[in-house]
Amino acid sequence: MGAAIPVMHYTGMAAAGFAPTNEAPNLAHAVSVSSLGVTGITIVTFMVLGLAVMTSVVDRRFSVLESSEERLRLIFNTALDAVVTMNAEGLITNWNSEAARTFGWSSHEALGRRLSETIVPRQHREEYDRGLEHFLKTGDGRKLRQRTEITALHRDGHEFPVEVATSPIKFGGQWIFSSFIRDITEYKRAQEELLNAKQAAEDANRAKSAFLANMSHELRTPLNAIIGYSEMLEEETKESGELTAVRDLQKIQSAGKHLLSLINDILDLSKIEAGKMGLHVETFDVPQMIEEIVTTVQPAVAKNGNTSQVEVAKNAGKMRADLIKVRQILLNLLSNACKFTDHGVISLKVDRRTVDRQDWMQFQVIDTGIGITPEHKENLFREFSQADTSISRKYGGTGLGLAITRRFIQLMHGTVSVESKPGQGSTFTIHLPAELAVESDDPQRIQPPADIPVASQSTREDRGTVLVIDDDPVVRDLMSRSLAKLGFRVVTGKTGAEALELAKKVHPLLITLDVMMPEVDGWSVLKQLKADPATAETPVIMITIVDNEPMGVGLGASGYLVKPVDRDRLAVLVERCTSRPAPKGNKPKPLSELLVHS
Amino acid sequence: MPKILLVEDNEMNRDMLSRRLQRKGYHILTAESGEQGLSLASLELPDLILMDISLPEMDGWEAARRLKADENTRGIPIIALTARALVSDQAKAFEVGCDDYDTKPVDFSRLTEKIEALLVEKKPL
Repeated sequence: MGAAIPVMHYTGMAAAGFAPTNEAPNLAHAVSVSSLGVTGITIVTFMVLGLAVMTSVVDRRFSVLESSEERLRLIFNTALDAVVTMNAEGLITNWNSEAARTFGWSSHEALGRRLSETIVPRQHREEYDRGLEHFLKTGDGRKLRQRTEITALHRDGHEFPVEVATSPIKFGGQWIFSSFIRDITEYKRAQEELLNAKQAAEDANRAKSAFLANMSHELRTPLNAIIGYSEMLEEETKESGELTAVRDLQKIQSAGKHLLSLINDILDLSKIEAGKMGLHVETFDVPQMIEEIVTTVQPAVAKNGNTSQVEVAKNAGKMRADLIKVRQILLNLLSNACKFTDHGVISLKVDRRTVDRQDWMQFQVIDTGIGITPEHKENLFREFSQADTSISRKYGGTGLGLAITRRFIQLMHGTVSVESKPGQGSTFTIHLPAELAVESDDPQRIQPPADIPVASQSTREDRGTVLVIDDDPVVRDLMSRSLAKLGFRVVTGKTGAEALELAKKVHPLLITLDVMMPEVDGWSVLKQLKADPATAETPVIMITIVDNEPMGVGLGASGYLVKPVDRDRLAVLVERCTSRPAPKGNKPKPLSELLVHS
Repeated sequence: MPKILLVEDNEMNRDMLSRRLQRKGYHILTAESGEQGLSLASLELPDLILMDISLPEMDGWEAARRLKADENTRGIPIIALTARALVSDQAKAFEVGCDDYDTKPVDFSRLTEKIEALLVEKKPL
């Protein structure tokens, strides 16, 4: 195309200037002059064109860049999360529209300000700045590259919860921190409402269960009268020879006994659910218990023409557990075996084994009855789920026995398993610790109430009390459990004020103190604890999200742990601070299925 | 005819037990409280005492203790009737001086066996 222009040009010029003359033009001269012109013009035209193309290419590149930048800017500003970037000096370098809406600073006002002075609440600024410093020095940033929930500060002074995800970026040799922040005030409120509703529902359920548990005496007394009087009348009537009357009275008696067993089962389950089922642990002779049980079930065995077999290992010896519950469990399994077996064999085998230096009792109830199908096996231990209604009508029973059996076994830290072939029979295998570690003379709360400062269940060795201060209930719960496992009694508190109050009241052996708490922060609480002679001597472990050792030690902390708290580190630190050796394995470990022989 | 003192605060239990025991041939005296039981025991000197543990005011353990402490009534065998079947209850029964114990609701034939056993022992040689 470039060549066409000079050609056209020349042609045009030639056409314009060309006049027919008589003289023949000097063609050669004309040609050489034209060639030079053509070349020159071609070159210039090419240059101009080239420039035009380059400009348009560059322009296009620029506009692509511009439109790309414009697009990113649009994305940036229309994001529904606050997007904020900060440089290594801690100054705000990007601030999107949502950030302006969330924090109350326009981007014009925010750019160039220190981020920590803009959106971090005053009491946390120092820790935040140290965190940044620490990261720049060591590359270790615990809060980076993950989502965390923290409290942020609005321009107008109010604080609100946010979810933050920060990514550190190395760009051109410099660090940039890019954060996506979301105001989760609403979400938190919804969460709290849900939690409250759940709590209310649980409370209501517990109240109902507690009511039922208390009704026990009221329900049983009249029933005992019905059973007792009908028994008495039966005796008297037998003498008079009135057989029909005797049979009628027997029916009343049997209905009464059935009702009593139903009520007992329901009350047992309610008690367990209300957390009021206690363990009455005592030492008893196993062979003797077995003998009594076998005697008790003889009538049930004989009822369907079954025979019974008992094998008690020579080393069965004595057991330390809740005798009443163990008896109830075995009677339940045996009566089920008798019920579902016809002219078969009911076997009871008792064994004692040692696993990992702990003694376990194994009880097996084996029958040659109708067995259990795989589908029914799943629901076996659930309340009211007797295999199916036809079975319950044919075989009777409440459908609660196994559910209670399972709960009792759980309470005693044991396990139960079942093997069965439909048509061939079933084997129920139970393992229970030969020595139950929890001792009590009074019924013990198995579910202690949450939240309120409460001492955890005391284990065999009471190593003293630890005061756990943290505003997060999840953390309080985790710490309590870890410390309880180490043999400590735990009292918890939510705020700095509670920390001081409880420290003076409870005189703990050790205090763990969360650094980031609302109102008063951990460091100032530490200062106050050390300033008060009543609490100054108590070792304090700071629980923090940022490595802060120099500060902690300077203020008198005996150690610090970084969240999330590592249980082993906690144990080591606690040991060091309380300088008491840990006991060797108190509680029996849960038994694996390895013990169940085929 | 052996004289048995039944100390039981629940009316129906008292009624049932006393009537059934009477039909077995025992002469039954009843008391509704620990206090009443103590005074009746000193007055009548029964051959055996059936002591319910869950009594109002003075519980059965205390009443049993006092009966065993008083030289007039020391020799009278006592069967404690408890609502719980704990081994520790059994231990406590013997600790306060009872001669046997049984659980409620009462298994009548089992109870009469225990009564007989103690009455036989007590018979003068």
